[in-house]
Amino acid sequence: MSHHDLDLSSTAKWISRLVPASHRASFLGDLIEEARKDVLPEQGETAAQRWVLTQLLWSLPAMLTGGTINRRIATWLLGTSSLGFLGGSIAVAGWRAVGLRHSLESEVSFFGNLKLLWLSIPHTAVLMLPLACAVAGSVVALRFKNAVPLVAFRRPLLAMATVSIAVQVFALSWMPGSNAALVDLMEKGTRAAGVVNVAVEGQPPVLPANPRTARLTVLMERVRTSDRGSWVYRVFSWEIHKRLSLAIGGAVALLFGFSVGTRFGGLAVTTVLLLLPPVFFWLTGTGNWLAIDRTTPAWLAAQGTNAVLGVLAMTFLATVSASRGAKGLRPR
Amino acid sequence: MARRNSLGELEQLTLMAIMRLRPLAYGMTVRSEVQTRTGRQLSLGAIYATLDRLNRKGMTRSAEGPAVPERGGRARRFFEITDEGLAALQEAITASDRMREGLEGLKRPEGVTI
Repeated sequence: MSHHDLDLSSTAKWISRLVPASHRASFLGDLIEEARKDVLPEQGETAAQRWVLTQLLWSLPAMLTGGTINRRIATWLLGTSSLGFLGGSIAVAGWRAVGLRHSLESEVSFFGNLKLLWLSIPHTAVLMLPLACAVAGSVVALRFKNAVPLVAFRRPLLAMATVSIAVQVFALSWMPGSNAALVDLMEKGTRAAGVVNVAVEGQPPVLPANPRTARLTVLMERVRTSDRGSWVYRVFSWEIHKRLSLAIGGAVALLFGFSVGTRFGGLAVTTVLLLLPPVFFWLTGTGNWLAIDRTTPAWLAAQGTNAVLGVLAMTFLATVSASRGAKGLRPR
Repeated sequence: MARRNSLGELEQLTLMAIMRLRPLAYGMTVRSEVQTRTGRQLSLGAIYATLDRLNRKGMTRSAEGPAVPERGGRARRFFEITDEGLAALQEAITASDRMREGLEGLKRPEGVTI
């Protein structure tokens, strides 16, 4: 391939529509020129196309906001709520693009036909199966997300019922010149303070006086120096988890939006999935929460088994649903 | 209170890059110049947003060049600093120099003159 042949991929062309029209041609020309000159000769066409796409994505926040959002903030936003909104927008756009969105009239007509649910039990069953599939699928997706991609962070999502095992840290003060840190925390509603020994910054602190809390795993960010001259740290592992959770949740929602995109079903599932993470974190609080490390081999095995069983169940339900539908179990 | 036409740091760097690259200052070369001299990784979008802002402030002007085959037939947009931009840049540098006077810990790198 000649170096003169490089041009935007179809994906890049699609995304580039978001670039303000006043800059689009010169901006894209610059990207192509730099890719041709610096990336293509050494790394080939695929890498060059990937480079162009990456640059395009990184440039969008600044170009769309006039430079008021920098890369760091963009990274944060992409990992949090904006991805949900972005995901929702893309899902709705895709919804329209693939022609699955019907006119208001046909939607009303669809609701009118719901009375048929009472007339035919087989028909009702067939209608309920995709809904069951969607619910099972969302459960599987959330469990898979915690069991596999988030396992490195060892922060399983805590259900409301298990919040009592979380520890709220009010202050974690570093003692200069020693490996000890003062921790002020609340566990199971009881405020307590104690000294923790921390071998290396960012590593799990060891609480020898309390074996139960010795398994805490903490990622810390130095915030400021306190009045007493000690460092104050903010625990942000939960924040990382939240960002990842929302990012993956947004991606999962997108997939569902496209794959289950029939009438209200896909839209409803997409909406629910997009709303789930914010609602969850609103309910459980987004402060400096520490979860007791539950990532044991047994826990991992249980999560894996749940995920496998969930996938099998979903496949079975989908198969049954399809075969029943093919047999024409419809009300007369 | 900041003056209406005060320059941000990236705006200052961008204006200086435009002056250095004259008359071949366009998005890609400006970004490369800033990155090479400051070591900062900047997206092309950040440079374009800055150039657009400078244009709107009247500190730069731009003109489109001819279409270039290597760019998929897209033209380059060349930028040039205006008198107003030059004055604002000079003012920003002077203010910075005045603030630095007497601060022993803040010396210019050797061989660097403005």
